[in-house]
Amino acid sequence: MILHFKKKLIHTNDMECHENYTHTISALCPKFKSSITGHITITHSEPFHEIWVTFYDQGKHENYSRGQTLSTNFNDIQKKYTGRVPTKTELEEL
Amino acid sequence: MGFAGGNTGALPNHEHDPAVTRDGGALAANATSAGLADQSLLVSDGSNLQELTVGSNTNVLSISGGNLAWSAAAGGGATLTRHSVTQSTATSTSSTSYVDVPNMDTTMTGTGAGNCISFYTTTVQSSNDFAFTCEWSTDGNIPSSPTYDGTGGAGLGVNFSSVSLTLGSQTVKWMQKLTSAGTLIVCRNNTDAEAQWLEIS
Repeated sequence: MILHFKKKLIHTNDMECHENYTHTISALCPKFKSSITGHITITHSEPFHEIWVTFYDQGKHENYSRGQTLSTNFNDIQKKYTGRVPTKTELEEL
Repeated sequence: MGFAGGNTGALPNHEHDPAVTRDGGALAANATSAGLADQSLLVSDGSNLQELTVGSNTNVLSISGGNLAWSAAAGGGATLTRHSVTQSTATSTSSTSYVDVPNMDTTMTGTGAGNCISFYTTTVQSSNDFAFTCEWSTDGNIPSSPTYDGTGGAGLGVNFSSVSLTLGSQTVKWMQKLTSAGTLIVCRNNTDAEAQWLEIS
């Protein structure tokens, strides 16, 4: 499941911004392990960052490409996400 | 009628061999008529001389079906078409499978035979090793899965390249991934990144 939205984030530098937001998602969804049970992609535009939070709840890696969701099999690192998938609204309001 | 020198008998073949006395001598330029159109050539068909009239402007002399003929010159150099996309906003990802580098994609306009060369230039920061590839919708990922050491700290200028196997209106995009858990940034600190494609057909 890919949740795609725009949100204002406190931005100090690119790496810190990404990692801070990852911690925020993990706090909401403890079974979300970045790079393992899901991944996050952020375009650090201002004033709103564009964010894609992907949960591997379908047992597949998912990539958002040209308006479509493309699924591929897991590699050795990835695992299925078995926790609750939040709503887009929940993530927008974090 | 007698010949010069008084000889009689059958006429020999008509020749102009300067080595033979009284054989007529060489044909002289600008003084020998042949009843041909302007700019025509004489071509032997193995038995007789035939007239090859001049071709059209820019025609070249070539052989068709074993015969000399005027024809249009063959096509010259390749057709080159360039695409480019720039990005000046940093993007980060934690994916260990390939995901799109946002907006670094285009569609080829060329049809038929040919190739395309692509370059992607950006500033990278990564907490672990990473890989980039160019995905061609017909030809697949080229290169297939190179891996680069990303643990060198902040801000590494990189340039990746790819050459397609074919042309034919493919869609093409640059893709990125980590090879172990972590965070990969492109266009770091909003430094300009650019993807370029040069179609050759």
